[in-house]
Amino acid sequence: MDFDKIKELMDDENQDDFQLPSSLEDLKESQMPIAKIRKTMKGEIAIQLTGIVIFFAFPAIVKMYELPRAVYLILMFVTSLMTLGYLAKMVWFLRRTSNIGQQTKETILRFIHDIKLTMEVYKTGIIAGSLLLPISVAAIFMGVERHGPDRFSEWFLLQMPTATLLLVIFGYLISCVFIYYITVKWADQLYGVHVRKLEEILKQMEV
Amino acid sequence: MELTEQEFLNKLTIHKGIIHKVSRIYFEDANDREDLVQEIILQLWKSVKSFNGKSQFSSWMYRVALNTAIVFFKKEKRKPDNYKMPEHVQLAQEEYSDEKEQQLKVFYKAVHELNKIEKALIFQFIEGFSGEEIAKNLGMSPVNVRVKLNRTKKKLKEIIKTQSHGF
Repeated sequence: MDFDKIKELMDDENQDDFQLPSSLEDLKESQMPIAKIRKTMKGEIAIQLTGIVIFFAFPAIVKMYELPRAVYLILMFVTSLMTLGYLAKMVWFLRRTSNIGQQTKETILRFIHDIKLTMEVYKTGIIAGSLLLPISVAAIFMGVERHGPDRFSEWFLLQMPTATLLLVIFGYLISCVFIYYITVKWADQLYGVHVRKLEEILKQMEV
Repeated sequence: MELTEQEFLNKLTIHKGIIHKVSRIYFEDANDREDLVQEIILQLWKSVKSFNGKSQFSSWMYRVALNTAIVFFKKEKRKPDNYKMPEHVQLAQEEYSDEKEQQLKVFYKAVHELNKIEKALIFQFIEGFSGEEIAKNLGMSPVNVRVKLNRTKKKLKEIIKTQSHGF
């Protein structure tokens, strides 16, 4: 095969109909994996910040008993700190990945490293925050005044028969496993799928 | 390098052949090529500030265009797209009328069977880049480039042979 001839043919190919845009405003938004990840992250940051505000506003809207209210606010505070931690990591990621680097391997490795690091922080934050969630949910369901007497305080102080306590522990563990599974799947759907595509390219670079 | 949008577009116009060739190497489907062309232009515009002028503008364009093509993935299933490209961005639906164009068509058809890195290797080789330059652009060792390039050339020849064409 004569590659010089091919080059000649490629150079001579008619490009009259290949026109560049007269303005950059006509371009569609980026479809790169990294751009899609950035877009997803931006959306997630906005949703999570809104979520924090809504959850904190809850006790102000609904009247709760003292103990469930205090427990709820303390746990929400801890969860919010964790959430802000991984949101900060996401912002760091968005700043680092705004354009394509000069060297293919370096560009891909940097993308994969940064995405994986951010994903791990994200998963850890979500899982740790979610482990506190059943208690917050219990505070809401059992500690709201209009739901009747304060059953949450009783529950929280473990004033229940041993069989019920074991059932609660078992239910909590099941919900933990479920939360972990959902979080890992969710992170994989949003971000992992892009990482695998980039890793495939790295494999193609190996001898 | 600080460029106004118009200066940037003027420079692109001078070297538009690079974008055209990269898109032809990477995708067969005209819609996918349109998407890639847009993506390359976007990435070039985003990265133009990092161009320090030490190398030629065209060399820098080759690098960014190829890197973009390598990490760009076409849509899995193309949904009916209501978005209409502006007329001036539309790519021509090539018609191969004479023998030369037929040969080029056969070549592109074979190249589309290669993986992304193989495409980058063969493209840079055809464009006259040295092994060292290819290695530098891709971030691979020169030995790795030499080995993979030889394999890719062999593979390309076999694909063309299988397709019962030779030139």
